[in-house]
Amino acid sequence: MIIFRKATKKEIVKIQKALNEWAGKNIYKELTSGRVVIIGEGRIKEVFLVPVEVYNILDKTKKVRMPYYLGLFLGEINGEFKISLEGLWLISKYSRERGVVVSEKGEQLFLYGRDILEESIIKVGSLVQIGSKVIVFNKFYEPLGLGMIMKFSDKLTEQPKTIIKNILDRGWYLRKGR
Amino acid sequence: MDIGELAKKLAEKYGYHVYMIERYLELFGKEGTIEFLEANEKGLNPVIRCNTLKISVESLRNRLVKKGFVLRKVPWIDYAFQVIKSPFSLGSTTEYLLGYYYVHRGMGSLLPVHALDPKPGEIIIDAAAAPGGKTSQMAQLMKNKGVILAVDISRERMKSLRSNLSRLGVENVIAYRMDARDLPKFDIKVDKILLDAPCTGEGLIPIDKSRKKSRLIEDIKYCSTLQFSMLTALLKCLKKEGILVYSTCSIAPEENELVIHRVLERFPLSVEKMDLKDGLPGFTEFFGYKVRDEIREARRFYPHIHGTEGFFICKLRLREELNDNI
Repeated sequence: MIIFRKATKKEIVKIQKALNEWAGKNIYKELTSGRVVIIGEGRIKEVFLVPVEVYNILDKTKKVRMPYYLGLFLGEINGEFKISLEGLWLISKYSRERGVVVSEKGEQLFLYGRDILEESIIKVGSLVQIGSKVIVFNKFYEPLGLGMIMKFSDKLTEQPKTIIKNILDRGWYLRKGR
Repeated sequence: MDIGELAKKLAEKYGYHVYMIERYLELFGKEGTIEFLEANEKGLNPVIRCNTLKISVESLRNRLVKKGFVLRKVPWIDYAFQVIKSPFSLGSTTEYLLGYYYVHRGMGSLLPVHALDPKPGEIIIDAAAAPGGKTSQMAQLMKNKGVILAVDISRERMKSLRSNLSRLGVENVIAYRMDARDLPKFDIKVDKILLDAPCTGEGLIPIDKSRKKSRLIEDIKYCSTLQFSMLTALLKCLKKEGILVYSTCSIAPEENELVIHRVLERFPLSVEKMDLKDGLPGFTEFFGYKVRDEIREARRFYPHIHGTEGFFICKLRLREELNDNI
C-alpha cells in the first residue's frame, strides 16, 4: 500500500535544491505557495504538489482510506530527486537557458522516444554544458521532455558531433500512459 | 406486419437482439426506430475539448487548423470542437501530448459536467471518474480551485485517469480506487456530485457496434439496481441544497427515469431545470410504468435527433441533509 504523508525536511531540501538548480534561482517558494509537498511512499517515493484545500481532504479521509493519486505529480526520489514531465512543465518558464530548442523534425523524433541529432538543434541555452541534463523545447518553447547533451565522434567523418540522448519525453503519454 | 414480426425483421437487418428492437418500437414508434437504427450505423464524429488550463480555445484551433484538421464548433459548449477531418491520429499530435486537449467519443459526454456547472472553490465528487474526461472538464471549469474527489473501482481505468489528469495539468483532484458506495464512510458533505453511472451503454452503439448484441435484458435490471444503490449512498455525502447530476449513456428508461423515480419516492429531492438548449424531456410513462411528472425536466439525447450518443441527464437538488440511518 502507498502511504501519503507530508515531505520531511531532508526530502524538501533535496527537492528544493533540484528545482532551484533548474531555474538558476530560488523558485521553490513560488512553486509551493498555497500547496503542500506530499510524498507517496510505496516501492518508490513519489512527490506530489497538492493544493492546501486538497490536502485538507486528504487529512480528513486518510484514516478511512489512502488515495490512489492526488494533486500534481512533481517527480520521484530515488536517491536524488528526478523531475516528472509535469514538473518540467511547471519549471520550464524559468529554465529556458538550461534547454535546447529543436526543429519540427527533431520534435517528432524526440516524441517517438528517439535521440536528437545535431542537425535538429536550433538553439542552445547559455547555461547548457556538455554532459548536463537539458530541457528539450520545441520552437514555441513548449517543454517536450528531458535529455542529456553529449559529444561523440562521428565514425565516418571523424568529426565531433553533438547529440541529445532522450531521458524522458511527453510521447510517454501515448506509449505507456493509456 | 405485426410488431413482433417487424422487430424480428429489423433485428436481423441491423444485427440486434430482438428484445432491443421491440423496446425501441414501443418507445419511438416504427419511423423513429428506423431513424435511430440508421443513425447508429453512421457513427459519430469524435470531439476534442480544449483544455483551457493550458491553452486558449483560439490558439488551439489555429494550431490544429494549420496542421490540416477540419473542426466544427460544438453548438452549446464554447471550448469543444467536433473533428470532421483529421490528418493524424487525435492521440498522437504534439498538442495532445502537451495536454492541450482531451478526446471525447461524442458530444454527449460533455453534457453532464455542463449541467453540473462546477465553480471554483466548490467540493465535488465524481463518483465513476475513470478515465478522467469529466473530472478534467470539471477541473478546467473550476480553474484548478476547490477539490474534486474522483472515485472509480477499476484498477486499469485508474491508471488512465492518473495519466490523463497529469497530462492535462489538473491539480485539484484527490483520486480513490474504491466502490463509490463506501464514500459515506468519509463523513464529509460536498457541494455537488456527478454520477455518470455504470450502465448497459446502449447509447454508445454508434461508437461501439458490439453493444448491439453484448447485453441482455437481465443486464438492464442488474444495472438499474446498481445505479439505485450508488445514488442512495451518494446522497448521504451531499450538503443541504446540494446538487447531484445523474447521467448514463443508456437509453433504457429502467436505468434512467425509473431510478430517478425510486430516489424521488424515498428522499427529499427535487428535479431541477437544466441550462441545456437541446434534448427531449424524460419519459413519464413507459413499458407499463408511470413515474413522477417532474422527471419530464430530465433530458434525453439521441444520435438521430441530436447527433450525440444516446444519453440521459437529470439534475437533482437535496432539500434536507440526510443522516447515515436513512
